[in-house]
Amino acid sequence: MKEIRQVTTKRNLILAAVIVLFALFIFVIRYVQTNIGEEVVVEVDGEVMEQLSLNKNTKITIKSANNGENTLVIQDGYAYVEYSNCKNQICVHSKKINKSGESIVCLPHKVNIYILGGKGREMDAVTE
Amino acid sequence: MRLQNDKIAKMGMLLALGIIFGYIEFCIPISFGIPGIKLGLPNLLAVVLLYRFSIKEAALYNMLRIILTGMMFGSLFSIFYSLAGAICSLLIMYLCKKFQLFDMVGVSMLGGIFHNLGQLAVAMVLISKFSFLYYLPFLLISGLIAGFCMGQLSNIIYKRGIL
Repeated sequence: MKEIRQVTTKRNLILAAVIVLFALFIFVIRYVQTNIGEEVVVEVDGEVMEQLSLNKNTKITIKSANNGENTLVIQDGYAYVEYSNCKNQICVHSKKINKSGESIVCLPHKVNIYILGGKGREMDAVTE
Repeated sequence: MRLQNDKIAKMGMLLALGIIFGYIEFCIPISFGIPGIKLGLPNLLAVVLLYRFSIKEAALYNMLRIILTGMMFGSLFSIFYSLAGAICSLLIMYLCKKFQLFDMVGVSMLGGIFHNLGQLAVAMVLISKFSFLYYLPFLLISGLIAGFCMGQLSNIIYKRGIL
């Protein structure tokens, strides 16, 4: 067996610190630049299906290919997915969104729900 | 590629173990409200394979494991995601190991991070207007933590010479 090198803990710490700082940096920038959004946009397979106001409580069912169904709920200024008949249920477990640029994605159904409006919009144009 | 019998047996065993690890992860989804945060148990074995044998064996293990687990518990999407993550992570781990930039823990940490970055890249391609900057910090940190844990474990396994 090959000789195992000495644990370079210092290097690992520096690596970890750099990454944590980088993550914090992005997070702070993101946090400063985003505002509470105004609209909820529902996209299925890249096409906009619905555009709803974030301020009006409502509940809609999003139908997609292969009998896909997601139930989107807008309540008290937050949007979340209450039900989905997809396999992984990631969208259901995603946290409620209300800031511009935040999104809930259901990949099996190709459904993308995101928030628009507020200041953060220019920022998202870059990530398109 | 001609594998020796010993190696074939070990790799078969590791592949089976990797699939079980994948199943365990599938059964206990740790949800923090951010999709894609995982412990990465199967990657632990990829790190061990990378050190014990070479990138070839680790890549073979990853590919077979992802296709098999994907067919059993996932979908075509999950296969794409996992493949992208695994390729990114394995490449960066291989480079770091080759140029001796970090030890096993560091290599594993970078592997975890790049696994997440690879998946994020696929998400960006598949979904328009995907706000990846929002997810990036969380995925970086989670990859770091998961990679650290897996690195420690693989270090222990490797040092004990179990394989």
